[in-house]
Amino acid sequence: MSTQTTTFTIPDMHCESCPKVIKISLEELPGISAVNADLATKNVTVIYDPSKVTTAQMSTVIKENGYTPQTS
Amino acid sequence: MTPTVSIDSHPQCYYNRSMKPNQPLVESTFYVQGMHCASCEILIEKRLIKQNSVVMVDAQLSKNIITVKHQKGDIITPSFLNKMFADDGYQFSYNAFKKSKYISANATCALPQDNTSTFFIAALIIIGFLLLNKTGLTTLVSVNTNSSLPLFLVFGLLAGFSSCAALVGGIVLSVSKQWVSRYGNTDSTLTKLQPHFLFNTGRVLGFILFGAILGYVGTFFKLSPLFTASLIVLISIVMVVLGLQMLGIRSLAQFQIRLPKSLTVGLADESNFKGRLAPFFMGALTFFLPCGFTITAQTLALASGNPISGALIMGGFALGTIPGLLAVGYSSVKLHSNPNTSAKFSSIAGYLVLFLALYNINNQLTVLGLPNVSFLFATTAATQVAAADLPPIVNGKQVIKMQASANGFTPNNFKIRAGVPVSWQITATANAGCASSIVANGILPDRLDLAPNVPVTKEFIASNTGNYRFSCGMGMYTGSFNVVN
Repeated sequence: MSTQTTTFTIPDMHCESCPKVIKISLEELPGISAVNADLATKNVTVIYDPSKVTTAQMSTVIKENGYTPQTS
Repeated sequence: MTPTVSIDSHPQCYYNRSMKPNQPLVESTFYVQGMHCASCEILIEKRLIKQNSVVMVDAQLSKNIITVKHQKGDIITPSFLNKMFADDGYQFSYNAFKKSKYISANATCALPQDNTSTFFIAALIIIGFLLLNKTGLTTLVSVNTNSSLPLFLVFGLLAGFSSCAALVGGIVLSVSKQWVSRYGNTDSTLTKLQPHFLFNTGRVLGFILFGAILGYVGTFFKLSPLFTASLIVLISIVMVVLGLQMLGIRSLAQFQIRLPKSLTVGLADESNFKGRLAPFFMGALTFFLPCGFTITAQTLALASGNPISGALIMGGFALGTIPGLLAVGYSSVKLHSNPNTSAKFSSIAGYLVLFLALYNINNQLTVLGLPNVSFLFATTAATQVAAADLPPIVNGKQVIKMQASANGFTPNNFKIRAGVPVSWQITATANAGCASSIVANGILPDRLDLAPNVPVTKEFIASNTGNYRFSCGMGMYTGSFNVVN
């Protein structure tokens, strides 16, 4: 299984609950092996298996929780 | 064998669809302490629904309760929940928590709360600020071209606590919440102060650089009154938005990122500058925000005609303003990081930022000669020339004399003849502060900057009768010409 890493910048993470929500939500997707959400840098780094999940799906999940992800 | 409830019937709630409902279900309601925004609702719901025995979770921020449908005789109890969410800072109980024990850590999702007390605290600070300005703090220190560097430090020190606090301090206050939010709660106060250190470093270095250029090129930095006034009004409008956000006006929360981006000026918002160096550049650019003291220092740097003196004067001045500005930064960092004081501080700061923004806008309206409410703020002890007294005519010119001091202009109300040249002789005292720069729309084409104790004579002809207002560069002091036939 080859993994890839992608980073989303989510400027509207505004409190400590936000990174936790995003982490929990992303981890529910298949093929996600690690999520690191950092409130200070507003960056969310995801290690995933591209054969099981796409960045578009991650983006959708983030948006469903009310955040606006920007891929960088 | 999934529960029969359809997810569509309760779109707000979370359902555990994989659970086997082989036991009777009960619904429990818990009071929650520590929820402060929609993310908290989601977080609690998502965590809880992963419990095998939980069928449905509904967290309600507005009521501070969660409703859980779970298997009877289950472990879903307050103590279980408290343990589960200990790291997240939520507390659960069967009974309601005492009110306002927890105050939101984030003003954009803060619920409206005890607003009267915070309003009064803000009002007290505002009254103190106005009194400080009216008593003429500037009279304590006077500077001129021969002043030594330490004197400029003291001059800056005063500025940092008075008129410059209104503009630059207000900007610092309005962005400090965004700066703080970049850091985690576990970061030390010193770490969180980093943007403020950067801001002040940038300010000092910017002042040194621009001061040197000022001493060298002279009038290059003399921006038109219209430009600087518009700049301040723009920044103040951004400050109004930020101030309202601090007061927890939810509908404005979304403007946090969008609005400033549409403003090319955007000095008051760091999102225009990428990365953590932003405060540095913001600090440097505050050179162009004319508060009375800054203008005095700039005028003297200009008069020095020497890049090194210019740099030293401006650098010394900026160094002096650091304590005042850092005090604003320190208190905001300290109070924002404590959940118990954060919301209260946000409200107080919100009122202050709103007031300062409106104060600045009003002053700039004065500068622009537009209708305003300056009578509330300006020292308008009108030292009017007796109504019948038109100025004497010397060599075909009406001669009027005016003194600009820390208390404003004396006299500040002149009666002049239309169509007859006026010789306006102005002397600034050594400590005139803001009054040492004069903006007279319709009378003088440019801002007139006065050097201390150097009389300046401006000649003009008022061809139309009517009332012409003039003010100092920051709009704090005003005066007028009554032009008669």
